[in-house]
Amino acid sequence: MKKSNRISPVLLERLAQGELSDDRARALREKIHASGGDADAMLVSLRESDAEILQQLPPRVVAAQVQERMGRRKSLSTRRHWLALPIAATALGAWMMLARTPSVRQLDAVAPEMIGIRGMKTHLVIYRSGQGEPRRLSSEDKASPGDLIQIAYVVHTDEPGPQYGVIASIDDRSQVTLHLPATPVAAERLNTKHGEIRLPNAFELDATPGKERFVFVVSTTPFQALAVRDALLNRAPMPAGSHQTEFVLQKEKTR
Amino acid sequence: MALPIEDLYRRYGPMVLRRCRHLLKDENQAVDVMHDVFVAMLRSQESLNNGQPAALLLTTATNLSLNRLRSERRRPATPTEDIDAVWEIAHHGDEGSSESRTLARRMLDRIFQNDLETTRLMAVLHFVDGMSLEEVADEVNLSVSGVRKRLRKLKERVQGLSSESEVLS
Repeated sequence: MKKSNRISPVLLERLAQGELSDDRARALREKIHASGGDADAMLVSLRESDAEILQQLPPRVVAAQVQERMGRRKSLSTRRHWLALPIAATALGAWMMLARTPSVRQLDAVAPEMIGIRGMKTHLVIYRSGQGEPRRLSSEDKASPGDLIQIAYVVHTDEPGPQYGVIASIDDRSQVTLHLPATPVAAERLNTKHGEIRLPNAFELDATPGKERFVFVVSTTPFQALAVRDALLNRAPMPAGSHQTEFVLQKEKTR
Repeated sequence: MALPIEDLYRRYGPMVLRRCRHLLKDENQAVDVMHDVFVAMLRSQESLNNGQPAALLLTTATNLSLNRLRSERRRPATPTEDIDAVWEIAHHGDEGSSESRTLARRMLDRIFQNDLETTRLMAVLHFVDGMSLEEVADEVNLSVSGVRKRLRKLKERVQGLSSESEVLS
């Protein structure tokens, strides 16, 4: 077996965490130097990566998700309907990737609700969840910080084949939140056969004043979710070939 | 030491995520496995008292990532099935040849199917991460000769399999 000159990322991480013995740390630094690298620069790079990841995946949010996952596993054997939760979990991750940190609450952890609707156009439906039944909001309604907002979509199309969609929102401070898909990679393949589809997560409105503009971008061809974010932030066109519908929610200043 | 999960994640989360990314080459999977790592840690927080929590977390991340890769490989072929980890193992041998690629596939299958968890951890640390035998030995608390022996046996078995069925390449 030939001797490796590569720098192990595991050892570099442990060096950064101060877990290597003096001898091993010295040996690793020498190996890095011998390979033409700069150990200190590598450690700085790791710290920068740390900051970036913590911004993308905030500790408060990840902690909530891990706790949720622990609870889910404890009850998996007895509560079958919790099988819907992976959707919720990944949705939370997607929202985190967009570096916005409103708190998200899992509503009743049920499978996406399906309500048969005929003859409707593709659109968004926004609910405010409270103590009782969720209340469907109109464009005349206002919501307050702390309100739980549930998003649903309806896709109506005569075009054959799959439809792909992204739901995101942007507030007056240009903070973008991704609601669908679960992760900010590719647009979600939409459920087009069962009328109104509620997303498995509700989210809590933050205190940012003004309005929250929800957009639902749909296309017959796959596209990148981040393209929607970029379009919202830069007021640029949405992905080619896509269609867009939106819902503007006015927010009250105080609850 | 019962670290609140937020503190645990704040300190070690990025490290764990980088590890998962490195092995899985898929952001969604990496984030998902990272969560599993912290769930595992929370369930056995006493194990973080060993004075080297980063090492434990990295090992857990490695093992859970390998488990994820294994489960992925059981599914029908997907574009991500041809993982880079296989390719990196392949590069350990003859640079990028179809033969080494076949060997790599065999090796990874072998690692996943029959070998001890410590053996597959050693294989990843050595073949994928580029650790020397001495470095691997330090990580898994075995002697260098012990690591060498295990990896040699692993490779011999895999090479034996490879020569039995050249058609795979």
